[in-house]
Amino acid sequence: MIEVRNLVVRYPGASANAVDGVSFVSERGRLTALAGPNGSGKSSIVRALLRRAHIPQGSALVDGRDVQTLSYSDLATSIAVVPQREEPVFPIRVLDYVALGRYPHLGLWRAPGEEDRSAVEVALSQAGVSDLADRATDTLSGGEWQRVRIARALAQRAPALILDEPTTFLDVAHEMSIFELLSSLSRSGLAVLLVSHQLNLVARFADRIVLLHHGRIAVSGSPADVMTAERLEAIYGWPIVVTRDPAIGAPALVPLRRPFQLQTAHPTNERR
Amino acid sequence: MRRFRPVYWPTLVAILIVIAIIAVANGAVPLTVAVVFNALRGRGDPTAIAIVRDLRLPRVLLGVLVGAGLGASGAVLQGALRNSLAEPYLLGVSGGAAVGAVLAFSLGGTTEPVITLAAFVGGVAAVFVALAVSRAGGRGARADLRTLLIAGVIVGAFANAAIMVALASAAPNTVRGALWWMMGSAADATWQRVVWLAVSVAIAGGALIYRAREIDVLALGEDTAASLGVDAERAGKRAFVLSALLAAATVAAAGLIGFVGLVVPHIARGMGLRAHRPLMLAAGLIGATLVVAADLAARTVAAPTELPLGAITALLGVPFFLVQLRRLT
Repeated sequence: MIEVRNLVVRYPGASANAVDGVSFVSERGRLTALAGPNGSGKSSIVRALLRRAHIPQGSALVDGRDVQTLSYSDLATSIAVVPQREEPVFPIRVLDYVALGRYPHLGLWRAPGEEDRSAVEVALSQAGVSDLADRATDTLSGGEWQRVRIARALAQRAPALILDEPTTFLDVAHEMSIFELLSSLSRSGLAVLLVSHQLNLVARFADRIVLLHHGRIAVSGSPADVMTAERLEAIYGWPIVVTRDPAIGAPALVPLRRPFQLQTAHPTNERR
Repeated sequence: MRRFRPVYWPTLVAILIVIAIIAVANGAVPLTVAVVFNALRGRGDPTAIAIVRDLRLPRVLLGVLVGAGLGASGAVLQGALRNSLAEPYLLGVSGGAAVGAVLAFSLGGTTEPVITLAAFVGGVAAVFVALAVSRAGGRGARADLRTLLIAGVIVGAFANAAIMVALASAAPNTVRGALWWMMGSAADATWQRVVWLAVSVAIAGGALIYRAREIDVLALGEDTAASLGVDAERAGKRAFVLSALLAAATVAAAGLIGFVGLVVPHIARGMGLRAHRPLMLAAGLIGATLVVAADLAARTVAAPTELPLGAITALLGVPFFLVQLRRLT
């Protein structure tokens, strides 16, 4: 379980706190989404959980233990993270890359054993990339690479999984398949914390949305609670209509085009 | 991607041994392999014994150590700094060591241990200046490894400028000595130097090999490294300092020998190696072979004139690298 309590993150030289008193819980068996406009503090929370940001106030807890007091290796066996950006400078075989997920268990010298090999195998299969095991990372498509990175995090066998924008640059099908994967991982008992801009997908998949604005929680709760037009308009500063996803009835967001008028008729080309 | 085969290990070792034996046998006075082996055991012509034991063997061993140190140092730096253009000399080590050596030359320090020591101190000082500069550039925050790389380049550039200014007004003898040293040479090899370098390479190289897996993780980027349980900042600085010490020791022993630290790790990667423990070992073996072969060429091709070793390593290494580059792409 991941919990942040009144968390404050501040970067040196910055005039304001990047995260300003945020509290929420990401429980096991649930998909929790962290959403909000650019610069609202989403990635800073991830950095704080990784001990890569200064926490002057509040705390970030993993399974009840403060990350600040955990050793780096204890932290890595408690949470697995797929950071926003990552590109190996020197391409590496997918199997070897995923096997690096076992580093927190192996340390500097221990040779991989049966448990490590099986963790890697299961991770490859869970992420649906077993057939890519022998490929080099520089030959993968964007969607394949994201799945391989998720496999690397799964090989860590940590009870919590954090992903920072895992579907950026992916097409609809790859995006959906990643969300389906994350949803099934959360149902299998992991605490999944997902940072995402894809409000429509988040609304369909997340059990709970934490919507940030200027480093604070604007609203949090179930997708239906969070996704209201007034709230989203106020946060994003753009006119938005919220309708229903025709398949499952989840809230769906439609940002409007200029001029900001609700168009009930068919759109025409005469506008301007 | 090429798959590394275990048979490559004995092949690399065998090539190094063969080249080393050829290097001991050849020179101003050519010897047969039989004479070399006898001389090593103290048998045969006293002149041959002296040539093998006192002149050529220390020189070849110095080449082995310099090449191994530079190859391994480059492999670590490219991985830890995530930059395929990173190399030991880029980090201010060479500039700092050259300042130390030139300073020793111009202050009249002509004995070998003085210059070696001065160069080593200069190289190490440059590394710590680079660390300090990177901290200053980081607005009091944790400086990332890119800042460190830039700081190293800046310190090196400053050192090189200082050398030029110093040499402009120096006596011709000093200039010649300093220039020769800056072009790299194993000619002044002594057992004392070999032992000193062996100890340095064993300590710094051993520490790096011990922590090699950390560098595998670091090569994935700082955030990913942190998520895998590595304190990226500390691990990166440790790799930086240790590989810089390794390079500084080689520079102090044989001057500036370019190219090895940059390209040898790429040759080792081209054989299919990625994990830094085997990568460092292979880069060490390839670097050693390259420097020994280059030194043999430097002293025999235009004999009795000796060519600058640093230039020969590049002349020998570039074609080899180009062939491999073609095969890779």
